[in-house]
Amino acid sequence: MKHALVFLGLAATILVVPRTAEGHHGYAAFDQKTVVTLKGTVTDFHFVNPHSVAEFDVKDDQGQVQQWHAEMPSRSALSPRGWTPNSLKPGDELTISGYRAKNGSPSLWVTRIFANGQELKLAHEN
Amino acid sequence: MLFHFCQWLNETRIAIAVRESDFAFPIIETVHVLGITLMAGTIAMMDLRLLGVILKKDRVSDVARLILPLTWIGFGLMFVSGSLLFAAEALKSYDNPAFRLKMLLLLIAGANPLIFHSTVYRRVEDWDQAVVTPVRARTAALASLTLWSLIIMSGRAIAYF
Amino acid sequence: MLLPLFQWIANAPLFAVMRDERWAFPLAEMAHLLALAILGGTVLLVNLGLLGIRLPRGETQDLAKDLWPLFIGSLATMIVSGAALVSTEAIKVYYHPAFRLKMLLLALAVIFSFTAHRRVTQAPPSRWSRPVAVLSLMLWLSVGLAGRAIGFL
Repeated sequence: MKHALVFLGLAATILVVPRTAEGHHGYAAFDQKTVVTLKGTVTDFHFVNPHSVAEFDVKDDQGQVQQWHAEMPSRSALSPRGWTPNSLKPGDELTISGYRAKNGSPSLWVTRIFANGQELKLAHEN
Repeated sequence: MLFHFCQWLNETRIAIAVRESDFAFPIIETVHVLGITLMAGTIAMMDLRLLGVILKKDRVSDVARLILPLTWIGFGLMFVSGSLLFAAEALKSYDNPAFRLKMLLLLIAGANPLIFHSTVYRRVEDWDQAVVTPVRARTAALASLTLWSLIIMSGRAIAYF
Repeated sequence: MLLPLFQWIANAPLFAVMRDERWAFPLAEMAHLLALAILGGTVLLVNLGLLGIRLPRGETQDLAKDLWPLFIGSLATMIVSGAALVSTEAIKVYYHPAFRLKMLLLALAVIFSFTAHRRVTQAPPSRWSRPVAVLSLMLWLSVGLAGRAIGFL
């Protein structure tokens, strides 16, 4: 009986505990039918596994700044292509293309990325 | 409280090491994926014996004695590799519905053999050589196959959320 | 050399669903994993039998014969789900080094399973039992590792 209660408690926790509003998404959360291209300035770069993330500011025509979030392949996949933790530094100018998050949040799944005019390769070209 | 645990875990040295290493993450993930064979593959063989599909001429207890140590080794590998993968992305996992479902299913999948071993399996000498095992044994086997299939599927779904 | 096969896979109506439906790819991945569990289970048990870790009543010949249908079924599932997974990028994948390695190792593992390995499992224990078991385990493990490398290179 006691074991059953512990079990139910754990199960309830798993099901019921509220989620946060974290901005990280998996593939299904991005609209892969349209590619958007943005220009912005890097504010942070997380060179990690399983997905690297670049945070960047985009200024619109009215001068309003929006914080964007770009998902890229893992550190393990990018390192062999010459990426380092310093490949993107705060202040770098980005031209970045990708699939936008379906729920409208300022989040991209990157398809191409140029930093300070130079393209940084994401994938194997065969 | 669970959220704070995940926040803390996310920033431990080991979590950071897994995230920032070029090799650790792929190796750990490989152990986890290939470990499915050792854990779920062996459980499936045991379940199929209980369902009378394979190894019909062998005693259930003999099959268990051969297979279960392998399953436990597999479980050890899965638990350690899974914990490391979880630590590296604790907050993302906390939020991920596929991950939550997988954890819930793992709990149930853990309870299933406990119930089985403390009830119908106690009298295994009575039906050790049966091809058609007692209803409760077959039910446990079917539940096990279903649960582990769903666990593997929800594990794969994690990347999509 | 095998390019026509991959061209066929790229264009097969059977795999059109992979392009047309978004849930098809994850489902194919899941089928690939489930079949992997079963394939691995049978390969493990038969080879452990050859290495002397076996059921008290059983001869490895009986075990291998008993598990053969499961082995074939799970192998077939892995091949079909694998083809489905590469169908949308079949030509690109054809030139990918890790994929080529995996296919080479898979061919070796399959041929081995149907020839020398089968002969040894159908015969009484001999001095070939152990080396054949070790080779089989190593071949299948390397197929799995090469498959993982596809995602990381």
